[in-house]
Amino acid sequence: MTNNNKAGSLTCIGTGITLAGQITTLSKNYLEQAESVFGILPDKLSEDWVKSLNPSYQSLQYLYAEGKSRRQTYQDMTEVVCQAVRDGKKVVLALYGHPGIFACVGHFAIERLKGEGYEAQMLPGVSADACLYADLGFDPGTTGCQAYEATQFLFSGVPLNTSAYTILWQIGLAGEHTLKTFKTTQDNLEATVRILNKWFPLDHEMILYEAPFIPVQSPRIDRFKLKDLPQMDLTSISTLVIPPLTGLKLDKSSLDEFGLDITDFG
Amino acid sequence: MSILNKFLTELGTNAKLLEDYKAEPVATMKAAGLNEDEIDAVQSANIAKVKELAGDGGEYPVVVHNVKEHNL
Repeated sequence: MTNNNKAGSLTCIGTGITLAGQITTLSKNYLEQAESVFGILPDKLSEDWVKSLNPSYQSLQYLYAEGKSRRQTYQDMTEVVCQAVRDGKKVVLALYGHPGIFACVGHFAIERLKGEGYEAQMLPGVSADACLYADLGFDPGTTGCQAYEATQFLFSGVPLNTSAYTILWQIGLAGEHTLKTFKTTQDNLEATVRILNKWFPLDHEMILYEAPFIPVQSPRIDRFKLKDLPQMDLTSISTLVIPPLTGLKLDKSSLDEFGLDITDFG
Repeated sequence: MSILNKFLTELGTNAKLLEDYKAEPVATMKAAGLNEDEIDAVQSANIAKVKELAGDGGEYPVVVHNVKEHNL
């Protein structure tokens, strides 16, 4: 429930992945009109651009620290944003990509502020997967698409649907669970191959994708075989895309539920 | 903002400039006032150098999730 006597408010916006051109018109307008702007952006170029739109911009990157739990960092970021709203300001939190995908601070702040009776909202942004569909030229609606953070998938043992596209985010951190490094290991990548080989043959084509951060960059699109994954040069922004192994088929027992027959589909 | 920084930002929002850059990158960068070092860095796709010349001191963390943050 919101309390209109509380002057402060929060709008979480996404700045997109590629510099300057992927922010929505409405998000840019909120950004320009805000009394206080906070952000978690990937580089200084992005920060300079946001500052040019609203000089009140303050980075929250300083709250990351060596040896400090990221959970605590996210809580500290949330509290900085919430306090500005409590101080009566119209606040914008600018996050790269989409503000609510693989990004918890916006969700935390909105939940907390709404609980305290403040206006708080999130506007959609251009996420890395939106760039991926455009750059790789496939429509996730054609076959279906499943997406996991790589280590989440590897540790949870969830089955894959081989008739759909598979996207594994942060493949460059596959199996990394220590919070102490931003790289994976050869052993972890070999284990990843063994797990993926439960569903895909070793010579199945995989794609490494990286969206461009600045407009003079091209997207990284490297095609290779599953067995060669441990030899690939991975970064913290590498995404593994696995095309389908099989096509979707009509299922007779499912069609029976609708009183339909396979022959109805020619 | 440096000239390079302004150029990169403009490139992200100006379709004509982007098309001009794709057709004739060096001429477009020269017309925008970029210096030889900046043009060389862009031409050689040396993104780290491009960012350095644009005043960027280095990448911020872009890792956003860790397995300990999942509901496993």
